[in-house]
Amino acid sequence: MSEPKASTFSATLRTRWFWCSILTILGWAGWALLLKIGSLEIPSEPSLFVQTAGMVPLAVVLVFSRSVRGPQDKKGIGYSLLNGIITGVGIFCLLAAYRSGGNTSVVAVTTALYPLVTFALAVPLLKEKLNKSQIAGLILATLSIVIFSQ
Amino acid sequence: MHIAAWLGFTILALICFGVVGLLQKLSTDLISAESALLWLIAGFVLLEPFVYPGRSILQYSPRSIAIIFVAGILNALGSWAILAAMKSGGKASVVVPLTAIYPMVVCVLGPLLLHEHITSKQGVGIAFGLAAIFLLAR
Repeated sequence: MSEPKASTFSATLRTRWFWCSILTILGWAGWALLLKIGSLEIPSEPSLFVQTAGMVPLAVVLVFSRSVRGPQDKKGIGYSLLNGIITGVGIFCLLAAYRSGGNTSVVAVTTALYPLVTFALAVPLLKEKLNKSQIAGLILATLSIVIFSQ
Repeated sequence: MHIAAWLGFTILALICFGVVGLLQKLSTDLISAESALLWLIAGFVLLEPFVYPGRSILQYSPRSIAIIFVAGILNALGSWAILAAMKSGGKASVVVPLTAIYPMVVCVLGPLLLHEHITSKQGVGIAFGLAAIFLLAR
């Protein structure tokens, strides 16, 4: 017999991944807010440079962290390095789309659909499965992101 | 078939941001969230020469530079947290849409910090975002 939905939700509230996700929301919301304030004066490309410079002190701290010492999986490192490069390339493409005459709303709304791309890749490649509630959540999250990107 | 340059770049950006979610999960299956963040930052740094502003950076106020610098720290913190979420068993197909609703918080804080107003459309977006958190966590 399946568990009642409410208890599934309360069980999720006790997981580390859920609260880490909430921390991501707060961290990125702070990032977006500060970017909005800072971008009144600084254009996108110098801003990207300074933002990355802001990440470097954390990288220096991490170098001395215990969890990054010892033998590391080369494939894992490759994926992470690629993660940083592809994020950067994505940002360049976004800026290029705006510069080459793309309608701001269309570009913003289209790129906001990225969780659907992750979903489409994660299901066949990572063998992830979502229940009906989570699929409804994915759709609502996408609609919410589309609204905020306009 | 001719595709307008802006559309090509938009689709490429969409694919890049979507693929990143997959790479986050693949990397944290093999290494710690901290290691993954370290190499992610290294990937970012590799692209720095392409956005190096030279001396022109000096024309901006130290206040704005400091604000953007702190934004970078918060971006790194958010990135660490999403990697930690995936490392702790979160599915990429759940964590990515869940964390993608961060503009909802910006919208809620906007009136307090930036003296902006929430439109009725944004109100619907906030309702959808909150419902999405509840449903994705089930």
